[in-house]
Amino acid sequence: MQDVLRRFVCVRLDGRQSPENAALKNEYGPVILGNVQNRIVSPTGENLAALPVHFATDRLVRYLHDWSAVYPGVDEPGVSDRPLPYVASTHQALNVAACDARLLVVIVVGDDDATAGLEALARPLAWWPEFAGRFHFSAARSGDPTLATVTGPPRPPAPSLCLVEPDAFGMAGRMVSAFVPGVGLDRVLAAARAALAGHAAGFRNLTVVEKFQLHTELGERPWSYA
Amino acid sequence: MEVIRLAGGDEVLAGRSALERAGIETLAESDRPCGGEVGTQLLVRDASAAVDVLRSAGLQATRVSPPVPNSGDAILWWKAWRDALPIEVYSQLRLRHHRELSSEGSIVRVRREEFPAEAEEPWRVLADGGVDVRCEFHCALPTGMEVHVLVPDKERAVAVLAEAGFTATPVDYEGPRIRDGITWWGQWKAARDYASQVQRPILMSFASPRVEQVPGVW
Repeated sequence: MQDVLRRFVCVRLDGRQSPENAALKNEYGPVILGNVQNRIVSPTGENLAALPVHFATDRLVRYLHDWSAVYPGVDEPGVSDRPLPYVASTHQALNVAACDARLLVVIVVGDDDATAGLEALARPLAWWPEFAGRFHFSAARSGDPTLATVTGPPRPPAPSLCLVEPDAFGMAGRMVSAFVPGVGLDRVLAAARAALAGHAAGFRNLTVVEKFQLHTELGERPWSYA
Repeated sequence: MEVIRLAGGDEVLAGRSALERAGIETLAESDRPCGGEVGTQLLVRDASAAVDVLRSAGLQATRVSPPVPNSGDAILWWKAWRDALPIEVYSQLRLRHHRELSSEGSIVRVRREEFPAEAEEPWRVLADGGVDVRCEFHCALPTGMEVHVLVPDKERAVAVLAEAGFTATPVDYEGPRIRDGITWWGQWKAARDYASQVQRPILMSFASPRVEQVPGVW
């Protein structure tokens, strides 16, 4: 499945995150009780078809292959020329990272050239096969209030590249490494590998019900009727 | 929101009038007895104020303590209020009382096609069978509509629903696991620009990284 999905540009949006996303949700609907079925969209944005997720996996893979064959595409640019797939905000990225059991790479932006240098160091974490699907990415200004929820060693002055481990609910995180411009790629990769290993070692596999109940045990609101 | 009780009959008529004159809104009424105490119960925003008004009018009014929904009678008492109230008001009433129970239990899934419009809804069947429904989600899935209910005892809930002719199964969802995945884009314009550049199709998904008030869950 992952092989065929890598032939697609996969985008996941929160329809409640912005008026633009809400408009997209309605445009690409239909919206049923707040949900939109996954859609196959052409490279130019044409709404082509729904993704029939009730297919057996092998049929779904064939279905995706069929659409991929319609748009075989061209070779992707080299990793150094690909954009970073940023989530819209660091607050949301922390949430998404918790949802996906991933780590978060936060680029705390500063001077344009120095920020671009840090983005170049982060690209392998997005696109190298070793790291694909293990990190999410966000860009933040140094005054972003979400950064105040991130504990750990003192954050270096912007610009910086921070590896952040989200808490179970993605409302806070712990910075495990941070780098400033001029650092070598080897150090970033080594820190990324160590961060992934540490995350895996401390990770609690919880079902959704267990996670909801943990949320309540921590003093948060109980569930209520939808 | 609080519940008060009047003896019934003429007392209720007089009580309604007294509350109306005092500008106190009655949100709903129920005649479902609770703990052997019969009478008509009124849901008001402030029980103390309502009881004062009613007693001033010479009526016997008492405040009712909502029962813990762990017995057949108590569950039917709550069922009567769910019947009488808009769901959002009922939800507020539930959250005001016995919060410690609100999130406890297991989820049971019922397929919407299993209960056509004219049939009883699952929560009614469960309440009649002595099973409290603590939370309820209506899910639009590609495979059709499903209702997911949080109940204290999943085996009993499934049995009650089965006896009424419904197919229900206990359900929980695997949480996230650490494993290889795909790269997700999180912004539409950037994703579309890249798709245009590489001439590849887009898989577009909408998801919120929080379920109601619980963040970090798709």
